[in-house]
Amino acid sequence: MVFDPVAFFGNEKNAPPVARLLGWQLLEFDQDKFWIKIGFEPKPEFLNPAGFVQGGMLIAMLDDTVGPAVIVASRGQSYTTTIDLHAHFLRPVKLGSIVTEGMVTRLGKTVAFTEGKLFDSEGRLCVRATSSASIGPVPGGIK
Amino acid sequence: MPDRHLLREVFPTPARSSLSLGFEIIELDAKAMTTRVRFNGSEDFTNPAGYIQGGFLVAMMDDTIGMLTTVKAGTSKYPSTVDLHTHFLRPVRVGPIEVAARLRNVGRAMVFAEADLFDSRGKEAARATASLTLNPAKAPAKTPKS
Repeated sequence: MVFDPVAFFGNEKNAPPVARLLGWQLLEFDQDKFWIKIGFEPKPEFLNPAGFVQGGMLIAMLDDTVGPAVIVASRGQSYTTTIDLHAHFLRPVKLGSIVTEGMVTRLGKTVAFTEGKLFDSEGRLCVRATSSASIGPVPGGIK
Repeated sequence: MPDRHLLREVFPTPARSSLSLGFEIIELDAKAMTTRVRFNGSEDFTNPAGYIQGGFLVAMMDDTIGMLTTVKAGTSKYPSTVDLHTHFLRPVRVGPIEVAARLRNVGRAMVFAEADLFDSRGKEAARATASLTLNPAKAPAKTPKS
């Protein structure tokens, strides 16, 4: 069966509550380059006392980028459980549409290594993350 | 808990990110630079496996570390997280979550902090280390034009 990311991520059954909360949307992907681009719509509820989007919420978005990148890279065979994630916060992020890019640096048999970038509504790089995740079969199989 | 009043001085109104995470202070000791905070691991935060998405666990630890650093630094300085590294030890189910945080090093310009996150059964589920820079409150950090 050929894996179709648009059909997979478009399926409501594959959209967890967290994806709805973050306004997750698949923008682009390249299965050969192990690469994915996601759009997010942060809510005012995510703002910290300085009025910027709270850093952990930005990590939630990056975590929800590099995980799907592994699903795309493995052609729907692998689902991730994040082992670690290290983020650098380059600049604060104001409320507005966010774009992230995720890349799988290495897809091993049991562990995937990934990198993520987060851009603000003006296209500026704001957060960089590297992460490792243990990989296993997609729960319930591909729908 | 002797230092609860400090929280109200520094944060007269809680941040919206804290409210959405269900932030509720349990302990705060400014001298020891430690705190414990309870959060609500809501159904809205769950991933496809039905566990709380890792980023939201990080958000809870970041919120706790940020609060503690602000209490320690006072209102003249404003902390910004520079980096944060998390290890996810076990998955976390929906329910109450507790974060214990402490500041390990406090300098004039930088703070280094640690946090542990516990699930509703009290098991350690995630661990984070972070560094924060202290900006003057009235002059936030400048960023070069891109």
